[in-house]
Amino acid sequence: MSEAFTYNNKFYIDFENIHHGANLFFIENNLKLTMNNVSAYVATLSSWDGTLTNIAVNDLIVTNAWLSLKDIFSCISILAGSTDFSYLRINSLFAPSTYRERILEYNRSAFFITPFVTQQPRLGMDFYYGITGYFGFTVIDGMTDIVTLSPTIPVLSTIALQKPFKIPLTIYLFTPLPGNPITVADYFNKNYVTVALSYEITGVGSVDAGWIPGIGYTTPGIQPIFMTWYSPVQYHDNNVFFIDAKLNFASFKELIIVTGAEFIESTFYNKDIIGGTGTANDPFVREVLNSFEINYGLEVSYKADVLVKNLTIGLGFYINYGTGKNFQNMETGTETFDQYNSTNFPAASWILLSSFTEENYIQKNYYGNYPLSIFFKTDYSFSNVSLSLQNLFIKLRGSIDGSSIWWNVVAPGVKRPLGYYDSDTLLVSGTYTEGILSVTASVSYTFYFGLPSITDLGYTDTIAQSIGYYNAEALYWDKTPDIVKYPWNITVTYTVKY
Amino acid sequence: MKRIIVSIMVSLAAVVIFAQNQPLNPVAIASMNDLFIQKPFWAIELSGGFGYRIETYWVPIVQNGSLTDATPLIGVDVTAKPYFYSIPRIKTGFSNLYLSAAFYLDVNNNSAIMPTLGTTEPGFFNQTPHEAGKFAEIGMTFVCQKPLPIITNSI
Repeated sequence: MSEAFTYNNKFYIDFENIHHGANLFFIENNLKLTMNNVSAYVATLSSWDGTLTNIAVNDLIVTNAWLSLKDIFSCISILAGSTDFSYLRINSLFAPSTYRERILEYNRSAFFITPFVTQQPRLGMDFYYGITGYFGFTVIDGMTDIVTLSPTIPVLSTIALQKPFKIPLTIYLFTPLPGNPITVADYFNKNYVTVALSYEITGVGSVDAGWIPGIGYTTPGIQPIFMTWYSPVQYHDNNVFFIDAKLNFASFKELIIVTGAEFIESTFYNKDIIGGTGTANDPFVREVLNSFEINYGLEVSYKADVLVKNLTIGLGFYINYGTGKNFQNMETGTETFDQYNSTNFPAASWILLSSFTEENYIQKNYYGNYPLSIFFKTDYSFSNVSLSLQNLFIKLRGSIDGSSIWWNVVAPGVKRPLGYYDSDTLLVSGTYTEGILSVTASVSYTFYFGLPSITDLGYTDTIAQSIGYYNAEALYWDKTPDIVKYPWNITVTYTVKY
Repeated sequence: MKRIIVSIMVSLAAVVIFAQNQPLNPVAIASMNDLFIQKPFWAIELSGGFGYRIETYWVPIVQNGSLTDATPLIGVDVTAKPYFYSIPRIKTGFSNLYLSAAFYLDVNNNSAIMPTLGTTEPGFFNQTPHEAGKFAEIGMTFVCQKPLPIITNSI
């Protein structure tokens, strides 16, 4: 028999800003109630406008709400609502556990946005775990990205067979309730559902496997796009399958291994029309092609006390790869990648870097992939000091695009670059604790590989001076993006507690 | 309508399960006797720091590839700034009813220290538009549970 009731109220004042008018303050309320196997939670956020003599509620949103029923018939648990999804699969050893922390980490390193070992690309994760299914974003008083309960109400049923049948198997059924009426075909097409199994092997670890259905289907008829008609109308496949394992051997507890693979089978339209004239009676005929992606991750953590006391070593290895989409089927026309580049980016005013290959273009532009990422971490502590050293290498971290902020100088004799860069971030941090005081300092530096040189871009002092710069180097650094210009990240924090 | 029906069904199931597990003379979950119990406590914490980091914030971008080829997703833009921040906090009261207060000072609005809005994840004040620099938070918490919550001097 257990019961608990927790009420939290927070009152916020932003002294520096007026949010959409004469906003005065924000109030957040949350309430959690637990009675035996039933618990419920609701959280709201309201903003208040006006003056002290005339205050009115400007906005009120439900930021989170859930109802949890546990141990029904000793084996079934149901969670309706909530905004978390990390319980569906075995989690990464290195990605932060909360979404907020992962976003901060992603902002810093462009990595570890997902809680899973497969570390799929950001856009991919948003597509099938993100904005629509598990939580929504809203704007309140001009502040964007405020998390709200999703209009699609998440419902997770967990069936644990250990207690009733002595089978160490847990079944997860994630079956959210759509906010709007949709067909059954759409329900199983748009990655609403997740079915997962988790099996515990005593003394070895656990394995999970799952499927996020995205079953494609074709509807009869034709589809108008800007006064032109197309056929067939295909609701594309996007099936995600995953299998993860966490190994923590009873006989070798210092070692933890987490590994997982994710397979995504999807379809897309060939951009080249294969028939028809585009009228309602003779629509353009589109070809439906297949695409396949794999995300793989391997993480190892080892407490190396046998080597040096209080030393822990971690290693992560991640691969993203996609195949099926290529330049021919993702662009209109019959031009090859090289032909397209020589037409649109003539050598007189553009330089195509060695990284600007068709394969890299496919992985980055069509799939948004980091083909290879490697993470290394070591932690060590002695007396009052703890130290950490981390390194993260990301292949194809980003694009070098001379048509935007990457050395986009247009002048006679000058070339604009096109290509991709890799990055390697080194981070060293240390914490000193003495009684009530704790001080942490960290320094990180990011190296960028594959950037064009001053010579590559054709910058000379004469050209630079003709467009208002002191010399070629000044022009180069002025047109270098901030992400390259400021590779340092320095933090010193302290905490004093009484 | 479907959502309402499902909500009612789930609520009914919850009430039935809840009712089946109650004693005949249920005790009120919270009463005046639950207030001001155990000895009062207080805790003070001052934290702060400075640093320099690439400031990243989200901007809407358009990603091709869906059926309509115009699904808005979230992208990233970057600039760089140094920052300095300080956060004094205080918490005082009784083990099951206490008040807390904090003041956030963020020079250059770039330290990502502002509190979450809405208790869940990325809704915080200096994400986008990263604009809050002086910010106050006053909170009240009431906990009713048996055994009573254990109070530590952490904030």
